Amino acid sequence: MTPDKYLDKILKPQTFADDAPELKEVRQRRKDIEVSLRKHFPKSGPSIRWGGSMVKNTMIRESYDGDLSCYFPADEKEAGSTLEEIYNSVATALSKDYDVERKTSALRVKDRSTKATKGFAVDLHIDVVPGRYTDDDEEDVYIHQEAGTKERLKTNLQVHIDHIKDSGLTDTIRLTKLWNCQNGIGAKTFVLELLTVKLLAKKKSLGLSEQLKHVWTQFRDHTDELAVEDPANPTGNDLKPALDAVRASLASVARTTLSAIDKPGWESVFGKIQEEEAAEDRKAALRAAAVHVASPTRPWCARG
Amino acid sequence: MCAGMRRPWHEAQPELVDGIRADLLARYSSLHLFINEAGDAEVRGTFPVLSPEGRELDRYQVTIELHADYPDSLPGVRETGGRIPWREDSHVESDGKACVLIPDDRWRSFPKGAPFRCFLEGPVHNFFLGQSLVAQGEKWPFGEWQHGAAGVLQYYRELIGTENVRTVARFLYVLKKLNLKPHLDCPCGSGLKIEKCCKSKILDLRRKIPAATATKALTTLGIAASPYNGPRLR
Repeated sequence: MTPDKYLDKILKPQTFADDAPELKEVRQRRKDIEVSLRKHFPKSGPSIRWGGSMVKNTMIRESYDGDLSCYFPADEKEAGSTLEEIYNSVATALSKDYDVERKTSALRVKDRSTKATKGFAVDLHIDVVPGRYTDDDEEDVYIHQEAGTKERLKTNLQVHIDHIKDSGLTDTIRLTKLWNCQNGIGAKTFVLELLTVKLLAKKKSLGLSEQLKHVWTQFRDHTDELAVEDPANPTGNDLKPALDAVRASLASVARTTLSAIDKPGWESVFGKIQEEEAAEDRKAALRAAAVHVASPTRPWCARG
Repeated sequence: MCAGMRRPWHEAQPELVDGIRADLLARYSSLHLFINEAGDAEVRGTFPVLSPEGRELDRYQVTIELHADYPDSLPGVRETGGRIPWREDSHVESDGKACVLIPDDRWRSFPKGAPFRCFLEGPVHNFFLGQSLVAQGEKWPFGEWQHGAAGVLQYYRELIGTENVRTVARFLYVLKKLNLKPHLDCPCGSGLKIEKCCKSKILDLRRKIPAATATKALTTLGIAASPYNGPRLR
């Protein structure tokens, strides 16, 4: 099998069918969240729409989420006069029904009803991003920044979507996201997407495997020179700190990955192709694996 | 650096870092040793559950914390993909830390000084293999310890080969002493001196259970005084 064919097969199980239960669940949760937000802000009529991998066509099963923008009109004050007030009032609105994790600009929504059964609030894979349009054209928005040097950030959801979706590189981006996730690198998805698009700007004619090797070679050999800019705000959104945080990890894992491609080969990067397996076969394979364990150990729990 | 402040193990013992990285590269290419923002070492990535032939049966997102006192302390394992509930019956603490083994039993699969891969190939593999089986409706393949102090007692009952709590307490008391005194009454309760009874068994146990571990077990079991005078169990 050629490397490109292998990578196609790796992507297949990472792709959600339109009627996949995970997607149905996320869509239903989105409806619930939208109802909740509209009920809480009846006068201002925020624009609520999907962003992120959901509409960029870069979603992978291994780590999926939907960015749900909640943008208020420029002259509307129901949610607050300042961006921070808007951020806080959206957080308050969501907190009535969900556990909310405050991120830099987004609010991660979690299902608190699962605490009793699972011991933690299950992640609903949805980030709500509150913001306010800069003017009546309703294109650019300002969003609040909880951390960092700036309190607000100008951005444009559609520019982000178009930049990635129209890059012609969505499959390569999905594979770099899978690589990032499987290897615990922790690079922010947005930064990784921008890096991939930038590094492959003149390599679009290459196959998937050569594109990936090029990206990883750049990560390995030119780690200090890597830089990205936000296409919606090239001068105002400093992505350097987010990139600096993972620069060494990107270089180190890229080195390991490139060396693994040389020997033993691509299968050591993303694993063997997983064939569809009946539940009974899988159970039998797990049981057989247990039989072959040389040094059995039993789990414990300090609580008791 | 302030006087008395210890350098992190990953700086003081670079050969350990190299060893872990080499093991990961050779056997677990999707796991990597990183130094996090706090300066602590952790292994992150995805852990594959493999069949004996090397076929991947499952895969878990993990973070394995190698604390400041590594390699003396056991690494802390966390499943970070949200698949495993943080519940006692899943053997996960309320902070998300997985109890992959009872610490007293580390001599069996990951004794002090053993390479890090032994931890991955033994307790970590067994834990995630067990989780995959449990998710399929099966039982834990090698059983599971009871929770908390009950599990510690269960462990020592099996290790020593007794159902008697006082016998367990007496053995732990002998194990916690730095020197073995053969003239003491044997902890098995036979009425003979150690020299004439379980000396070889005790020597074997001392190789497995360090004095500090025995002391901690006595505390966990709530045994406050010498059980030779009749153990006081909480």
